[in-house]
Amino acid sequence: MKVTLENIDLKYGDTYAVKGVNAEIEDGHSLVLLGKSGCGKTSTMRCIAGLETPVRGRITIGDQVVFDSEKNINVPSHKRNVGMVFQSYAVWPHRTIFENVAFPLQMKNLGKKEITERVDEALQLVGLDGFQKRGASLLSGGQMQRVALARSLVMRPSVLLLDEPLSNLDARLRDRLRIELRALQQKLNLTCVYVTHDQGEALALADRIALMQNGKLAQVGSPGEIYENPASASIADFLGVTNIFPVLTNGHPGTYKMAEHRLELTTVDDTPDGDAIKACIRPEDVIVSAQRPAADSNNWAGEVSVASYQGSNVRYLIELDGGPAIEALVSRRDGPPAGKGNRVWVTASPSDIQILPAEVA
Amino acid sequence: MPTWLMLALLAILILMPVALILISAFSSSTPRPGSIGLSGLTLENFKILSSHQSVTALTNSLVVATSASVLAMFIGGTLAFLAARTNIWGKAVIYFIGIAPMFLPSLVGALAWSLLAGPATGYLNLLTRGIGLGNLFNVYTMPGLIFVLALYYAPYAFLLIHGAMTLMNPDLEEAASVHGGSLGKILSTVTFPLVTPAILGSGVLIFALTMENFPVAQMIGTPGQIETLPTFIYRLMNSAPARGNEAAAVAVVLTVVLIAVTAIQQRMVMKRNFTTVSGKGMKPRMMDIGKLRGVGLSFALGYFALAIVLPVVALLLASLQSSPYVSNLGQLFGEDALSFWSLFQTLQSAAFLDAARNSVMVAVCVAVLGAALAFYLSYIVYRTKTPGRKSLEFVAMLPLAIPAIVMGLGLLWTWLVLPLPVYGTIVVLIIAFIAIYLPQGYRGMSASILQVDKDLEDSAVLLGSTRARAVSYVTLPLMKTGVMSTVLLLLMLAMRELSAALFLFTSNTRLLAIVVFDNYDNGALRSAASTSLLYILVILALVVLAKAFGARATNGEAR
Repeated sequence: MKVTLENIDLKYGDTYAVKGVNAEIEDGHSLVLLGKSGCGKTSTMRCIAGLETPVRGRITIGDQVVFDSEKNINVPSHKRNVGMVFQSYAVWPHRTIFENVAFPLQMKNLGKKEITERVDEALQLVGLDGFQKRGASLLSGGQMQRVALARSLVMRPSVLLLDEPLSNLDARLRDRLRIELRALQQKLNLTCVYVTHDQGEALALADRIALMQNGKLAQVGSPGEIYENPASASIADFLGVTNIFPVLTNGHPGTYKMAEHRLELTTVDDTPDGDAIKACIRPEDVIVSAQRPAADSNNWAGEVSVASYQGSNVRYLIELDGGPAIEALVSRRDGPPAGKGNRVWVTASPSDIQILPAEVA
Repeated sequence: MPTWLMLALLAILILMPVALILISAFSSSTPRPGSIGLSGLTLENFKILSSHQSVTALTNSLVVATSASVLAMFIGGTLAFLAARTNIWGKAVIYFIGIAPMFLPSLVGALAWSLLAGPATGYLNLLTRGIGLGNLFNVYTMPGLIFVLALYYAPYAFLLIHGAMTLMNPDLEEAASVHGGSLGKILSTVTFPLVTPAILGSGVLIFALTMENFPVAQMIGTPGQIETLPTFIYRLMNSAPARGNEAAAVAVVLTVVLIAVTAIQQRMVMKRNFTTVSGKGMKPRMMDIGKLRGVGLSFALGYFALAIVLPVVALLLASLQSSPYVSNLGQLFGEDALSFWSLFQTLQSAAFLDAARNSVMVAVCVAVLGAALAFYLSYIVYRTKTPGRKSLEFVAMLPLAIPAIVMGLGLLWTWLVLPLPVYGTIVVLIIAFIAIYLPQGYRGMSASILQVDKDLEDSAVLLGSTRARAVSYVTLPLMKTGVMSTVLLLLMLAMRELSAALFLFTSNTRLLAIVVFDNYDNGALRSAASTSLLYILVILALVVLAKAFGARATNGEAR
């Protein structure tokens, strides 16, 4: 069901954990709350669940207003029909898997037969059929995650909340479950809210991403929009753009001088207002070559100080002559890697350089 | 139950007794029905503090408590190190020896040692006289008092230090070893500094407990004319007419000393609480102490003999001997010298049966109700955001700093003043014990509630259960061991308690501890000894029963 958050303020003591958050999640869509730890993303999610009580704002799930500070509405958690997969999974270790998954149905006082059918169905959905009688304390991390998921799915929640669902799993399992989760969400047409600090996970799971900083929404958009057009240098930094250089305008439109360095760079980007502006270049957009390239701008000479072989590509750190160190990610298809101490030329297309304000205003 | 109701409950349980002591200390009359004694405010009562008796009592208390805690820590710390960190033989046995004396009330230990080492008639003196060495022992002295206290408080040091030593992450020591530290260096630079908070904390705790101990001081100290603050308070209250206001003034001094000491302990525990525990399962390294194993084992067995074996033998002899006076050991081996007559007599006596019933009833009620109250309190403090929950915690922990004998006095006055027909019934004893052991109950419960991830309970609520249902389906079952251990702890403490009951019992509500104490006071040693033996058996039976329900004897002991 559609979920709407309007002007949510949440306070812990005197400090705001969440301030003025507005968000709308269409029915059957997924929203990922993305940000560093302490940015307020989990708090926002817990407000939807009713585990935290905001000081201001309104939360609507489907047609039901579950929280409204002005009208003094605060539906208790157990009546919101919200499913939640906790970061710790919160699978009850003293119960069997069947008992864990059957719990929400028992709370609805359903008959034994229906409970058994629906539990079996949910376990099948997450690939744990046949595990019904096992004790929950003997499961692996991935299995616990599936039990937690089944336990929430079985209640047919209006919205499913997932708090860092993949963070406790090892890298390969994480990649697989990421795809499974996305497939499941689309197949069941579930409305989902994820919380994560991992940008890769966010991009893979989201219909829309809400990027949070200091308790506020810094940028909301589709994964593509956020990745291609981050609203600030700090967001770009968070999304894995490692080359971020403070720059100064030098009067000519489209050209900037690197602060504290002699180098200039050219870009097609519009000049944003404000003093603190930064040039952001993705490492995969940096081109490394042994000869001076033909391009007439953004040509810099430098020396390789670190070359790190990563299998499908090589990551370089290159000290530019009279400039900063720049990171480059070069595909192994682009010829044999350069070694430490090699002289190279570095270039970046003017269209790949974004000039962004340091922070969102 | 809303929070304000809880606050009101704690106010009556704890704050009112404290307030009445304070008021009495500054008043010329003590609280009685219809009056809390606010008339005639005066500083007159504090004059007693400058008397020779008070100064001596305070000095004695400080000397006894300091020496006893040093000795107790030496014993407990050595046993803890042996059991937790060395390759000594029979670690389970060492562990058992470390905690066993807890099940023997210090009252009974004191009685047994006065039977063993009384100046003329003690069994040990009979023995040394028998082999021509004359009377060697006299427990009714300062060293005797210190020795007996140390014997029965060493288990507290053992438990705390053992806990810290087993929870230590072996990586920390292995790191020192990898970086070139020898065994001695590792011990002195890593191991001992890491357990310093536990050692200091247990030291201060034992200081406070021995300082406020009444039974040992009364049974060992008083015959030897050594008065401590608790026995001084008792004497003032028992003089005719009772000098309640002066007793209150002395109580205020004793309490101030203990509050200061407890505050230091809390600060040490808080400030220097190194987290050596990580979530991973781990096994601390066992150190090879080579030939010292024999020495260590002898030390442990020696302690066991002094704290348990000799006292139990003395109690047995005293309750089995047919003649009340024995002047040499040979008499004990004559025909008809030993018989079970007295023991059976005691077992069938109304005095014993009533007291046993009262004791068990009080202990079970205190354990169950006290644990329930402690759970509710910890839930409010750690699982809700109720304003004022920190002050609830403060009040709940307050009795830790107030000597039991003082709390007993305050509770006496509280229930004289309150218009409820509780005074003189068994209920007032239950209320009193719940109040004085609330800190222990609260500690046990909150430690246990903190181990259960809050998400586990929240997820049940999100899945459609009410909060109460979630607590009973998820939180309580997961806390089972902790809850049962807290119940067992309270059961034990309530079974052993004497001091708080001294001013509250009546002839109809005598407890086993009171019967033993009274018998001793009246010189009925045989009866005291046989009651003590049966008393120990009742305690053991309760422990076995509670353990059958899944409790662990040593969880969260009086920290």
